[in-house]
Amino acid sequence: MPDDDVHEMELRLLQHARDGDREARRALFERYREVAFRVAVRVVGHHDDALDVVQDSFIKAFDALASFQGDAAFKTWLMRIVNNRALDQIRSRRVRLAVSLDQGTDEARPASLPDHGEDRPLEQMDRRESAERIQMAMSRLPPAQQAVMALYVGGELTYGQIAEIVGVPVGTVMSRIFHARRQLHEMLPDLAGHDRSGSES
Amino acid sequence: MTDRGLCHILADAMAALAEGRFDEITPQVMAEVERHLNECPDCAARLGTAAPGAGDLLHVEARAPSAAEWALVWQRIDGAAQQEAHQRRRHRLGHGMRPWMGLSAAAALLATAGLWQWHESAGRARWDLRFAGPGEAAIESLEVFGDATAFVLSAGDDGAASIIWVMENGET
Repeated sequence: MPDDDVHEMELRLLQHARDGDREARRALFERYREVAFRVAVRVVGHHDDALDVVQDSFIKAFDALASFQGDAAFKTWLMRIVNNRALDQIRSRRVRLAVSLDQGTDEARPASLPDHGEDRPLEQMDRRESAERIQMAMSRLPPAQQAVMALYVGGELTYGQIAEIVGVPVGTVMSRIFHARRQLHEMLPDLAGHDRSGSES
Repeated sequence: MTDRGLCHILADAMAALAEGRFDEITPQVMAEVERHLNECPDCAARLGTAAPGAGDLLHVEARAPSAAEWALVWQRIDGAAQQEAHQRRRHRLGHGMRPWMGLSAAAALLATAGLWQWHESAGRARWDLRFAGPGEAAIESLEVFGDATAFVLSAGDDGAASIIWVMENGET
């Protein structure tokens, strides 16, 4: 379908959703839930927490639809909400972790793990281990870099859209990705060999 | 002010970044590009449209939610929207009328001193409140809005005063 038609269809959906049409809201949810989850899980790290972020973000977005002017794409606007909600989630988790350290917490449990049912057990274990290590490394990045990386990796967004979501210039987005990648490569030297170029400067 | 010369000097680096080839850039060049992009709207706009995607390093996919998990999330979102709509409806019906509700309570108290009498009047059913003293109050209309019921209570000679009484269904 041509881009113009897709855009027009989305505008119609938004108009109906703004009027309280449940089917239109459901269609928007089904269209953007996957990308919202991919971004959320990269920031918060945990499957269930990421689902909570997606849920809260859609509730907030639908509640605020009347104030959505349409000057940005709905996806960009929604991803901004997801990103902010995910960052709130990890901030509050850090507070909870600090409070419960003496009480034997499970807050530092492994991140959301991939479940490729068709894989052989050893391959599945490798994937699980890699995903867990990557997520742990991501969680050690400064929050500003982590948020940009989550959008870069999971959001299928342009640099400009990421800049709009995060509220920083395009150059800053690229710089944060650059430094985040370098840190990830340092933390995960064996996995860095699997990266596209495989040659860190 | 934009230094147009830098657009050419940094062209290769910016092309690499547009394609996601971050590994080809040194920290010094990255700092130069960042500075330039913050000063050059043309280059920033051009690079802003690029979407190279991440390299394989981070492409171990997280487990996708199941259909049942998505269904549960949707139910909660939809439930919250319905609740919000209900609150707004109540707000529309109730807000601004709340001061009258005190008056309606007073009217109800007065009514206990009166006599309820059901009769047919001009071919339509109505509830009348008859007081021991002079004057009369009657429920002029009764309308249901979703989960709320609105009464209009008129009192005084010729219905000179009206009280709107909104009650949520199920309230006792």
